[in-house]
Amino acid sequence: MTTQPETFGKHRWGMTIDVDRCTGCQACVIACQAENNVPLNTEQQYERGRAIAWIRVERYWEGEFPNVKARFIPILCQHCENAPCEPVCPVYATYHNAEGLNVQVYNRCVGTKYCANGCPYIVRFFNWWEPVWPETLRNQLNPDVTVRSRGIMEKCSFCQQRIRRGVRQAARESRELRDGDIQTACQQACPTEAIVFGDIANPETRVSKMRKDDRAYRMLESLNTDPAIVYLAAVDPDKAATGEAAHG
Amino acid sequence: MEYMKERNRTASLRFKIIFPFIALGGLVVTAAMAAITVFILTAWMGQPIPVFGFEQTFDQPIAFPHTRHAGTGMMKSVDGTQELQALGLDCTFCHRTVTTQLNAGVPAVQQCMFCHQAIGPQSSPELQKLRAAAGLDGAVKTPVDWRRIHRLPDHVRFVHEAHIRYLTANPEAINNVPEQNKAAVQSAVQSNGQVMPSMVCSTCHGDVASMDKVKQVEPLKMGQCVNCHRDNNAPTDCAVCHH
Amino acid sequence: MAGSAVSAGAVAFVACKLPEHELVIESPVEMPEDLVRGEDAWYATSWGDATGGDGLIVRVMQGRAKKIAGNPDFPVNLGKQSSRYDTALQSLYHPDRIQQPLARRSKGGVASKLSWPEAERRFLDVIEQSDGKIVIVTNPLRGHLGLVATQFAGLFNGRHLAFDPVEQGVLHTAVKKLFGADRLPDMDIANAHTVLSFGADWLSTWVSPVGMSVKYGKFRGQKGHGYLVHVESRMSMTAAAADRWLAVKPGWEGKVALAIGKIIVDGNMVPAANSAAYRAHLPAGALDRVTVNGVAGEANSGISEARLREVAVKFAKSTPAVAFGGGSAGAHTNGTFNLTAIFALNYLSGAVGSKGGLIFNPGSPVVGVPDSARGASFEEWERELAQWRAGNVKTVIIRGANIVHGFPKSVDVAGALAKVPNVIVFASVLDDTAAQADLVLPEKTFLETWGSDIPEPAPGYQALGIQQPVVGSALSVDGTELLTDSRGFGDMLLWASGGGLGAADMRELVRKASDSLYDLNSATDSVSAPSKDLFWTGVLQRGGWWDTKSGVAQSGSATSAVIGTNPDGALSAPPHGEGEVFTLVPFVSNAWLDGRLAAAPWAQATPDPVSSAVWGTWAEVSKHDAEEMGIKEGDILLIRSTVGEIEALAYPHPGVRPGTICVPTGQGHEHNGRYAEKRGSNVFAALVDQKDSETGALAWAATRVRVQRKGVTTKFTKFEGNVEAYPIEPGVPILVVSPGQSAHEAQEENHEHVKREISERAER
Repeated sequence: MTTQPETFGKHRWGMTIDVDRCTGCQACVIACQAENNVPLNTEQQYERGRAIAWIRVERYWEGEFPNVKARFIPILCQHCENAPCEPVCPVYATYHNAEGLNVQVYNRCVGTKYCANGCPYIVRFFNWWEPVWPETLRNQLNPDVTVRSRGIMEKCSFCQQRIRRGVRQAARESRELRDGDIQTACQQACPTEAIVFGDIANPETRVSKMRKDDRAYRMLESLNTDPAIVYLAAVDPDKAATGEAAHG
Repeated sequence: MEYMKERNRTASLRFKIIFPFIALGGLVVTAAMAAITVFILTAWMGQPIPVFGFEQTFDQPIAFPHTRHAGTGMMKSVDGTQELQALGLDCTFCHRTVTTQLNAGVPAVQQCMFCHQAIGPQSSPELQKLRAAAGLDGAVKTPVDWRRIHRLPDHVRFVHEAHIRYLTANPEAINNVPEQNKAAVQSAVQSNGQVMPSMVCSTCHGDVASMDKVKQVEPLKMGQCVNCHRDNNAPTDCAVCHH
Repeated sequence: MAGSAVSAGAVAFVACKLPEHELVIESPVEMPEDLVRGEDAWYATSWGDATGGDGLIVRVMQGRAKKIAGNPDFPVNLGKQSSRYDTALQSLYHPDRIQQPLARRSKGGVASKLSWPEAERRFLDVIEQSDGKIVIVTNPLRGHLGLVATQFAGLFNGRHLAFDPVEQGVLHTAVKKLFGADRLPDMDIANAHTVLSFGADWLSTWVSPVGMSVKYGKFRGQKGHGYLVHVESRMSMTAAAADRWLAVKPGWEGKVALAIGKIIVDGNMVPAANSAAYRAHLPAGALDRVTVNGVAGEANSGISEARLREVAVKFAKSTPAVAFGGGSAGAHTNGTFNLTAIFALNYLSGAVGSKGGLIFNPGSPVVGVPDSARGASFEEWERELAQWRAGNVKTVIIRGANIVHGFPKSVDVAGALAKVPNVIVFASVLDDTAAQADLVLPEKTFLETWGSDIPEPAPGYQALGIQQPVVGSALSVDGTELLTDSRGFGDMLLWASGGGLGAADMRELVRKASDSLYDLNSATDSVSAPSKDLFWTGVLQRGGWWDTKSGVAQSGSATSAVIGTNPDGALSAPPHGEGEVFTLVPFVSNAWLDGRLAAAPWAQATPDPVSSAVWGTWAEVSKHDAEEMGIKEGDILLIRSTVGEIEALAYPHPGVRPGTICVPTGQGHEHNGRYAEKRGSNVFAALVDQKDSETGALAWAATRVRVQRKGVTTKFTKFEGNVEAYPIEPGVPILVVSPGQSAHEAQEENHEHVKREISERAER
């Protein structure tokens, strides 16, 4: 028969984030929480430094008043090709799959937390407590995403449920996947279009083209983790004036 | 030395008397443990043998007979007085999201009432319950909470739509084909054609049309999923089902 | 042994017992549309109570709303969203939603539950009895809800008054004076090369933040990167995004704008016609009386002359250039002067009514439906509350306006409410105002009701967002009971009017609007259909109607801006007592706005963009002041004005002008559901009731306060780690390039820089 099972391994998922456009508005953060059933971060969790955020916006200061600058950068799992978190997992709960994702398998995870120790980007979060959802708020849980329980590690999945849905939809309509069919929740939310997600195996996609931009760099490149996320550098007209980095 | 011998003799005598009891007790313990091990293993690998109330079926809030609705051929009416022709409804008539969605979906009460507004013995206790749920006869509208029979753990995302899409086009992969479907499936296999979506359900659910009370017939454990995926060249990457 | 194995097994099985809801599949009574179609549905709707009037799509599965995202078709936000969208979902499923009507027999008595028929009877009785003495108080409402509220008040010879703690008409007045426009213009940032903004945190909360952020993305994407100058005393999100942040002294924004204008005019940097138009729209002689020396420098605005000249050149030469302002820039005793001077700069750059400048908006596409909304000024409110106190008002109906929380303490709203015999409050979660009510009616949220919204600013042409119920009613998780038995505010008013407003419910009203749009018969690019019914379906699918060809070429009659009492923008000396040397500048929270979203736990847990603070109230103190006063992060500060005192956790902030202290609005509720009540403190309470000299709006950024340490230090609840994040080395994690430089070159440069630093250190 002609109908084949869904294709797998044909695409390679990647993302670019234009730091220059990030305003720090937190839209991606909350959209991600809503999409991925990330448990509510209570006051106590923040105080103990145990808040969970698959994507976060970090803010860095540069300079002193009145020439101080604040810069924002969204940080999420970099889905490294050469990921430090993968080889340390004793139960193979985190591994790299054929589509370039760094996968976290919740039902395999036994909570050794080795992976979180190994991650230089600090994007893995451990569930120290059973997440508490007030009964009524359970209504808004996304049925496509597992609700994690106590004792396991979780992190950004590149909205795997949306990838599967997009691939399935294309298969149902007997067509190739189009660029832009699959949007991660953070990308969909980002008002300045700083986040672009797509198939980097196809050179024609928007994300592939942006990766060739002059401003493209990877975070902590010297660690040789080879992330699937490429950042585009912030542009600062003041830097030209001083002739060197605007900091300090 | 003599004393010691004497002691040994009495000890062995005592032992001879107690031995059958010890042996018997050991056998009982071993048998019991073996039974428990078998029970736990079968429960883990497939469905538990139906003892201790672990049968894979439940009494439903409304005794809905799949035989009457989905079955074909003749059957006895509820009170046993009449011979009735089963309706032979297609599965997708009620489980209407099954070909488009992750879950098969149970029909809304409203959908039951499309027919049962007029059809069926309105005085039967089961239909009375349905009418009450629909808010008829002065009752308050209440959703019906059915007992779930086929349940996958929360960390598995099973998509009905994709499986039905594949199996309808590849009928040779269908399992548990019930008698009434055999001809259709076979001819589709031979002609390299397609089957109706409702012909493929049996692969995992068995012949539901012949069950008065639906029960789980396949283990539906990960081993079964993976074997079938391997046989059919479907992806076996963890992230396909676990996310 | 067998026994222990059995018991261990039993324990294991009991421990693994599934929660009951896992074993149940619900058959809903009615068939949700997504079950009929067999797909999960994304419904298009709009959110009238949000800033800007964005279009939304809501994902609904089996009758439950799961996710809110921007409507990709809607011309304002183009599918994009803010952090507040998904937070709003929690207003639907909030565990503390009021379940049924509540009533009090006497003021301050115990509230008892009421059935809806009883509540309806009481509502009708009260309204009939108080003809001519009825006041309806709402949040600023556009669209059909605004229309119904105003018409209902008219029907019973009453008044409709809108309450907004921060936007009280200064902005609209300045726009009207300068351009003759009745509604806010669209600021075409996307096509501007230079943007000069004052006071307004427009990337975060001001006017139409999502729409403006979308434009900001395009502004940054254009060739040449765009140049953004932001003038504000605090480093807000917008200031952080700016290429140049000018930390102005609060209240000097107008003078700074005037000085920039003066530099441009004196330097003949723009065509003479532009200079003439600029001069004509300023108060007579204002430009001649201002001197750059009188504005620049630490003693004055706090901005150096060199910076002013640099910005003036950018603004004049790198066109299109647009200037706008609002927020704290208009919240001073000279607020109208400030905003007039700021917006007038657009005449200088030739940006009035042109691409990359201010684009004016046509009026409402549906006759009578309000297309612009603002809160009544503080002065109007003082007059109104005097009427309440005098016993001249019998009934007040309040919806969406937490007036007990939002006014300065000196006003004593609670005291005024106590003199009104019938206070009726519509609310979904019991807030401070509802706690004072004689009758509380549980209100449906925007996800459960019909309505409409006209975005303000509109995108330069006519647009109408349609709000439709995306879920029937909020159910409990097992689907067996209603979370709340509530009604829509508009539906309730229409019902109570007994047909006097020409429609039985909001749906009928919105449907009529759709029919009238169909009759316009304009070839729109949003919806076209061969019949009214199909048109209606199309409007609901698209989430509204818009017509890109309906723009206006120019504004209305451009009158000369006359600032009556204060043509030079002099700041009146704020009342202040001993030691009150700080200026308190409240700012609207990015997560929960002025408090209207504070009840949602996600809002509380959303980190503030700059400080990353959560779940409380903090005070941003300049690092310089903090060092001088020995203030450390987490110290509890007592911030005292002549009228009140609040407590807030200190956050030493590198980006706050010394002498100012900035506190977010919207916390410190006595009542507001389990997540927000008795949390943080209410900055509105400490404000001194000074007014803008023109409009009478509250000058909420002009209060002088005394700042003291309480002597208690607690943990500062925030997301970021305990060290202030300065990058460890250049390029990590944020790489900065100069315009035209490649990432590789910048990395090489940084590398050289680090090498040099190391060798210098070795030499030392």
